[in-house]
Amino acid sequence: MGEFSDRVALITGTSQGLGQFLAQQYLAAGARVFGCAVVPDETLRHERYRFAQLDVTDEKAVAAWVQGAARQAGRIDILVNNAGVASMNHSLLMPAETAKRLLLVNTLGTFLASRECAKIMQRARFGRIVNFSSVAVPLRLEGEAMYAAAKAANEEFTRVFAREVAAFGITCNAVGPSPIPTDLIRNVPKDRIDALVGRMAIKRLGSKEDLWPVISFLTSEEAGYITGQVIYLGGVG
Amino acid sequence: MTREEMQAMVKEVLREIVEAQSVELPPEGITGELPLIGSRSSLDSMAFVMLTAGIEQRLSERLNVAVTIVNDKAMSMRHSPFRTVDTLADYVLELLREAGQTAAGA
Repeated sequence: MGEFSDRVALITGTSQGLGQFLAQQYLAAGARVFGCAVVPDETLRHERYRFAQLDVTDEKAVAAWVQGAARQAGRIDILVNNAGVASMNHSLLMPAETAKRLLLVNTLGTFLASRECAKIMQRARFGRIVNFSSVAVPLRLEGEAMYAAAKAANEEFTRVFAREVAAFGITCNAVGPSPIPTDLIRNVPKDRIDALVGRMAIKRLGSKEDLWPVISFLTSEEAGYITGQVIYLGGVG
Repeated sequence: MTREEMQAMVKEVLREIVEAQSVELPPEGITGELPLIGSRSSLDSMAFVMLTAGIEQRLSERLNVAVTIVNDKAMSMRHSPFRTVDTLADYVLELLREAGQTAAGA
């Protein structure tokens, strides 16, 4: 077993992409993993993996998911708020419903899962929460105004929440991935991606594997003195 | 769950927090009238968080029901349901009734 043996990790958005990759990494490292997504998870099967279909913006559903995991596993050590949606569109062409969805899934979803997990984590005086920002925030990416706004909100939530839960032994940090070839950026034109990569210190797209070192580090037991921080990948920021 | 059982549960959670956090109580100890919020409360914000989280945990474990105690409804009520041990117990009972109704209706 690996470095997360006997740890209990909750990850949102595990039906595909990064979330599913992270679930696999935690499973391989020995953790017990509870995943969720708004669509069914047809692919990941493991004896230490439980999946629930739910919308992270549904307060009651999130509370039931978190409390159910705590009931089954006895505790929650790690939360990775991976679930997110992106929409690339000039602000003058963005419908209100799309903007609302960006804010709700990316930011309200992060808040709800963090709140519910911290309630459980505070009993054990231990918790590791990682939220998702994006390089869209420091790069001020045109066409992603509301996406970047939602991720910037996540950053500030991370900083303040970290202070609110520090006394409970819970850390809360954020990672800002560079574009990774997943469904989230499938529809972004190639020239936009190339321009973006050109502004990064490391001039290539990220990979899922690039993300694991920082997430596993921030959620490790040893990282207990690091909280309220935002780490960007690819040399951005 | 009866009113008396809920009041006993709230007091039980509170007792654990008082011991763990060395909370200073008035001489009469944990009574139904013990203020939980406001200037007369013995609880700081940490202890209050632990109290509501502790009650949610017990409801989850004993009744297998997920409720969020500090919710929009509680914040918009004219008289806060968190005034005293007894008002909190009554409010949680109300939430349980609502949760039951929701389940029955689903």
